Amino acid sequence: MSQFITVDPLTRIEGHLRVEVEVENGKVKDAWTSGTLFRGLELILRSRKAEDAWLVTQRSCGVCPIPHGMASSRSIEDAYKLKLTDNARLVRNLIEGFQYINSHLLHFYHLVALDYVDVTAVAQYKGNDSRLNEIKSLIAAGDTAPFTPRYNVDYRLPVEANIEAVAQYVEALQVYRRANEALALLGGKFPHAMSMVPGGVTVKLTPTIISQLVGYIKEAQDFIDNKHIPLVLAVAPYYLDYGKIGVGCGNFLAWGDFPDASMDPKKQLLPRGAIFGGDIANVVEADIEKVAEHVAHSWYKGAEAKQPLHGETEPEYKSFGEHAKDGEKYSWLKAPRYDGKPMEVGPLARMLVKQDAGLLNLAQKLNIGPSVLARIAARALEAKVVADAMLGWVTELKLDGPTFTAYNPHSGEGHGFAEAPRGALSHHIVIEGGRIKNYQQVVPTTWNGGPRDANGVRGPMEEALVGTPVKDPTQPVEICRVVRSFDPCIACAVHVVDLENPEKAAAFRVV
Amino acid sequence: MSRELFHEISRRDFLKLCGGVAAALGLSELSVPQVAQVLAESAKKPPLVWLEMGSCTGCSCSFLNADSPTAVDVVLNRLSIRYHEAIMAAQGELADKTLEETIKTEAGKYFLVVEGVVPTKEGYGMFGGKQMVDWLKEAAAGAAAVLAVGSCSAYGGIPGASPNPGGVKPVSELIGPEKVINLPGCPVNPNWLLATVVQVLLTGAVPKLDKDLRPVAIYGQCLHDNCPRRASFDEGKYVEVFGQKEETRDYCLVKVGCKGPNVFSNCPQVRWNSGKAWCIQAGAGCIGCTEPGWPDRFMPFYDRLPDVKLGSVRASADTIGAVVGAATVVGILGHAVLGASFGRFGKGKEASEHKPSAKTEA
Repeated sequence: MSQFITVDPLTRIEGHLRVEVEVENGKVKDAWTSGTLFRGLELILRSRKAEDAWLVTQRSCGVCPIPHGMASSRSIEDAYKLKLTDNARLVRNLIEGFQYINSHLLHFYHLVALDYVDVTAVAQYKGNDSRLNEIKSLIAAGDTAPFTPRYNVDYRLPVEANIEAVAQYVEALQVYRRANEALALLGGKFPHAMSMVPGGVTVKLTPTIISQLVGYIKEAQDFIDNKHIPLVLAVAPYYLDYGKIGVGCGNFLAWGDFPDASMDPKKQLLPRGAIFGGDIANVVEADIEKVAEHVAHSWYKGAEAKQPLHGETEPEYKSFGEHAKDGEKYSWLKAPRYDGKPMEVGPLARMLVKQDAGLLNLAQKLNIGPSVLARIAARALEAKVVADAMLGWVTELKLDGPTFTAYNPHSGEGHGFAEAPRGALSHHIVIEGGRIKNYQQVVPTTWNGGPRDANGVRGPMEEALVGTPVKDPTQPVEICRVVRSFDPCIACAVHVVDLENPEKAAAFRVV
Repeated sequence: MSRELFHEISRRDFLKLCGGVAAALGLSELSVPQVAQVLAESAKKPPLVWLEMGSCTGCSCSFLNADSPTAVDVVLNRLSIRYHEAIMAAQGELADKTLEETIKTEAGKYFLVVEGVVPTKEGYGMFGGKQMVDWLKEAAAGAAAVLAVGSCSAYGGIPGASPNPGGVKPVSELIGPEKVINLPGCPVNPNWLLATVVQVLLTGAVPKLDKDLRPVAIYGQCLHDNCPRRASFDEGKYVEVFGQKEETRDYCLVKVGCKGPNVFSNCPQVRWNSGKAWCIQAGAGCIGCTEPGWPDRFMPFYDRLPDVKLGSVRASADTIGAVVGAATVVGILGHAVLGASFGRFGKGKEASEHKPSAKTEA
């Protein structure tokens, strides 16, 4: 006898997500993930000036706006065949680097940790840390929102580890803020930076900014090296079963990011590539021409998979009633496929494509494969890879070096690639006379969190949920742990439709 | 780095809070002790419900950037955050229940913060199996005040731009202007949000608003008038195109699209990210994100405003924003009631009754 469990809203993610699972004999038998918000930007962009797009597309996601801006500017640079100055490349790498630091810390400490860390353990704290003592007295007073109410199950850490994790939760928020200050020195502000215009960057480098950046990077490195990674390693032994839970589809895709002076996608700090069938030692080239998006189970008309820049979309919302499985269509997210296959994207995919020795060694030592734990570990180790590289980029900056490549807007088609902290991202643009004729985004959470495709094959997140043990159906923390390990970001995954003017929507493909 | 460096003492944070609030409101340093006293004497943390609608979560992230006080301090010591999807521990039915209970048990006492546009077509925005617009109406009915943070919830923002494909609406259009304080910006500046919350606690009333329901203390001055590059504008020194030498000399950005002369906010004074930077400091012109009608009224972003007379002493654009009056420090503190209760919450005497000028048509 099977039972259906729905978690709606699944909180502590970006955006609005509904997850439904069918549980049989204490294990997930099947799963359906639904994006429950429709918004989007591509239709709004049509006929506007191409160089404005990056400011609009950043608003796809306030958690990771930078890669959206980056991918947008790069799509125009690809269309116009512009070569960035080295200074512009370095400034952008640094801006994106601070975005990685802020996002990875936010994800681990503020979105994920509460599933593993028991905040109420601080009641037993006996030291002098003022913040922990504040929390202690709040617990005593029963004043613990927003940390309660919660699922009160399966907290396995010893008291000291819980207390240390809570202390770091607080510290990480300061590091988050500080990383954003550094980002703002180069980008003007965060969220939604202002300086990464198509053609380069507008910010003027000064000795003060550069020396401040060094300080900020070292501060972040210190936290990642001495707090974040050690905490992940300390928590892992208590949750080793999560090294086998949430395995997923076994296919991985990374467009890669952080180019070096050659601008070769394969030589980026995080290189481009794909892995299939769980054969993680075998990295092959990745090609955008092999990408198509399915809508058979998404709230859009039609069932045929379409390639980027050639598709068409028409919205069709229809309530599925009580259970997602009862609806032919059950999500605003589309289902992108690579060569017909679902692909996991994100830090684990990138670190596998990179064949990162640190991650591979750790996985071997812990005897874990692709899983919840592997995703969390990959994210922490990747934060270190990026932060360490940033110190090098700062030293390469040239105070008087040019940061902008001038151009005259004309016509063309371009692809812009980036790696958002949560996975592979691509923007695609068709420009006519400097104005946008067609624009689309293929984003991380449609890759990871999209519904079934036309062949009925589950998306990576749905696949990862299958087999997950659920001890207490009224408090299904296991499901939330699996979903959150992907760092889902729904806002950028749900896009525009135009019910009033379907013919317009048909002419303009939206994600 | 030592933990001590991170863990600022609460008392110090507290004074910083008062300083940050005073600065955001344009108050003199002399008012800090008064602000501090009011806050110290409010015994119970006011409850707050934060609803994410059709948003990018950027305003929530911006809130986490708060530095005076820090977001940690606000969450632990200043406000009782009962519902906020991005940070709360609860999820699923437990989250829904928490929201419903807060609406019921704290009726008339809680702040409602709304982030994001509100989709009005069925199925276009849901959580907990309910339409977002229904959650909004339910939560707004019992709220003491509704803070529409960010340009989306205030005026429609990016999703409301032409052709508004999702048929989205700003908060005040759906629940009426009575309780609404708009805090536009993309995202909202955390100092604006906290300053407004504190001001409401101080006075027990809605602060003085302009016709677009924005607090005059924050959005009452033309950005251009306070821009550090204003002197270049007056002297006729402009960046003509990006990538030229003028760019490194901090010349005025009006010719490469800066919309500052048409924009009302205290960005030049309060700035962003702990006051470390702001758009124009990064060589990027203002794109007008605090204004009704943004982005449509301000695009193309890199084109010169047609109505700015270059080299003139004042830009003609000052008149476009049509702000009602200016804030006075005396007025705000004169009305201060220590430990003001929400029971007395209502429109301030000076509050304008105009409806918001921005409409986003479905």
